[in-house]
Amino acid sequence: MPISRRRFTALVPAVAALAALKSGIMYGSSRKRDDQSTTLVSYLPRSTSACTLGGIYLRDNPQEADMLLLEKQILNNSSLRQDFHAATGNSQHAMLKSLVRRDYKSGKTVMLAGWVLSQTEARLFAMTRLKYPE
Amino acid sequence: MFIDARTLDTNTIVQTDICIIGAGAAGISLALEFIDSRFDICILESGGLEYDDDTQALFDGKNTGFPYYDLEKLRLRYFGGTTNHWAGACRPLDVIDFEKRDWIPDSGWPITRAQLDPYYKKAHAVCELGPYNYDPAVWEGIENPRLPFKGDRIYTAMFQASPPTRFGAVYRDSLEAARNISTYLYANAVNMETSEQGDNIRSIGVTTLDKSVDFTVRATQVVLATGAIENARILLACNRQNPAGLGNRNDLVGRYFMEHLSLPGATYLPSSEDIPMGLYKKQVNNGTPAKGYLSISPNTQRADKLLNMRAFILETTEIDAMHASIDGLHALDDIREIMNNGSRDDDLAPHVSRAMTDFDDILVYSYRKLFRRPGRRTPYYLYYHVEQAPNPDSRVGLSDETDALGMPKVELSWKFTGLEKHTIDRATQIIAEELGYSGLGHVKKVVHDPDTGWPSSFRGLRGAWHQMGTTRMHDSPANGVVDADCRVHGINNLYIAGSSVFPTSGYTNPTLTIVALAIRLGDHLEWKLEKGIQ
Repeated sequence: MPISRRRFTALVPAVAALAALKSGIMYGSSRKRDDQSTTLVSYLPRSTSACTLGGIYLRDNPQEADMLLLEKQILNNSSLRQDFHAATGNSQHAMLKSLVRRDYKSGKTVMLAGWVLSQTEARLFAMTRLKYPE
Repeated sequence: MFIDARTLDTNTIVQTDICIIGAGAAGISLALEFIDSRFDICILESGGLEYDDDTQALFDGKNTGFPYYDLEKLRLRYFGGTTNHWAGACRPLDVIDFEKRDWIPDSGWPITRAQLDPYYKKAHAVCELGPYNYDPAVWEGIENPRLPFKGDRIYTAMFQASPPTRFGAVYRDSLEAARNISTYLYANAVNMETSEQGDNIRSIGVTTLDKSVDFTVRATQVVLATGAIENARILLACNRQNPAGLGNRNDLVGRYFMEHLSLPGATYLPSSEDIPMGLYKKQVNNGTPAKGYLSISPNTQRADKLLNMRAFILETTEIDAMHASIDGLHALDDIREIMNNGSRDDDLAPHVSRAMTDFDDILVYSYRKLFRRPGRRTPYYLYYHVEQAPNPDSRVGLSDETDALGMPKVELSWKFTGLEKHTIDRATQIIAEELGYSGLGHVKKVVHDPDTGWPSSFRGLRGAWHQMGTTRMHDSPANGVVDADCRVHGINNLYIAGSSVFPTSGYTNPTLTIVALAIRLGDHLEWKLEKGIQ
């Protein structure tokens, strides 16, 4: 049976998303570098809700379903990428926060299951979905 | 002196300088200005000193527009008027509320906030408020600072809370003792007779509810102060000499009815439990209760073509937040309302369909509600009060039914323009962006009803109990019922007091402005009487 967009949205566990956002794991407490394919892997929020929201983002933006592409779009110019790669963990974290705030300031937001998220946050969630599909 | 009109002889004629029809916030505030002055004041109050069902029933009417509260229960018809059950929130209208705003048709007052400021200060005393100062700096402290926004599109504003002043109880003794003020209780103004040219009110016909006594008031100046719905009703119903009613040559009386849209607009999840929210909860500073909230800056209102609005940050539980965001739960509420009252909407099918669509979320909600951790608090509501754009099609008219006095009942048709939806959507986005930019947290928008486009939390009965705008103020009779002095255009001695004169509503509770305008009207009438101007 086909699932309508409305029903699909209804299936999104709003509570789980809320809990994830609340717990402040936007950039992941786990810093274990278990995947070197992208620098951002260590900053991915590992939670069911992040996966869910990331899944919604990828459903709406299937052309972005690629870890390296997503990282390139988050760190979207060469000097930023160089700076990011040269930075230490704390500085990288701060840079990501800065990107998020810059998104909000310039209105680069997306709405996922009702949540207004920065483009950077949404793409980090999408990377989470790709990295931890189950 | 208080007089029970039922004890008067029929055909009594009362001669006075000023007749004030209605003893609510506006009428009483105006009368207070004349205590022990050399002018005689007559107050006509439909009710007595206490509530009674029969008098209250005179407010009955029907609504044919957007669902609204029961008109009979909305206001109170006895001495003190609706202040007998008001909540007490006070704040002046913002400077921008008085301005002509190109993106809001029919906006703009003929007076400025600066002109009203001296009267707001006096109104503060009448409403038993603190200092006339709404700067958050007065109220915040180290423990309860305002939220540190990095941008300038939203800001923290404050309101003060009146005790709330029950005008009837607080000012009864003063008015009763005043040698020049006579308050007639159980006295219903049912007609105003004009001169042949229609430019002066010659007399007011008054009757008691049981119609046992009819009497007449002849006043040099007449002030109608019966509330935004009733002011329009009385003007329209005084149609013996002019079928259109009084002051209605341009078909404006009753039009532009406004309310404040009141709804949970979004959920706010702070980024940390450490973000201080004390300023946004009701607090007492130097004896005055006050509370902060968020509002959109005037420059952003201009840039984004928004109505004015505010967002209270209301503490809630995760469960409550879920309830606000799941349309299926609203559908269940609607079904329950129909089953209980058989009103609002007779058709159950669409609500059942909405509930079924969200069945999974309802199950999750029910599970969480059953097994929640007691006392757990996480998110906040952003609860909105939104200005309604002036709309000539939103109106108070007369129905074919009559009340116990033989006066036509009210027929209300509350309608919106598209600006309200635009404001709710855009303001939510701006608040979300500013909170995100400031690192203060995230916002979840309320689900929108796909059929109406309104947030599903706006389920019908969602006004703020603030009626305004039915006898709007404008310099030109082509665009307003009263002039900047609140005098009805074309009638030299008829004035309107109350929120019916508001050309635009802002978002803030109207009582403080009602009182300020009444005090200002008192100054004008005193000047006029002193000069002997008719």
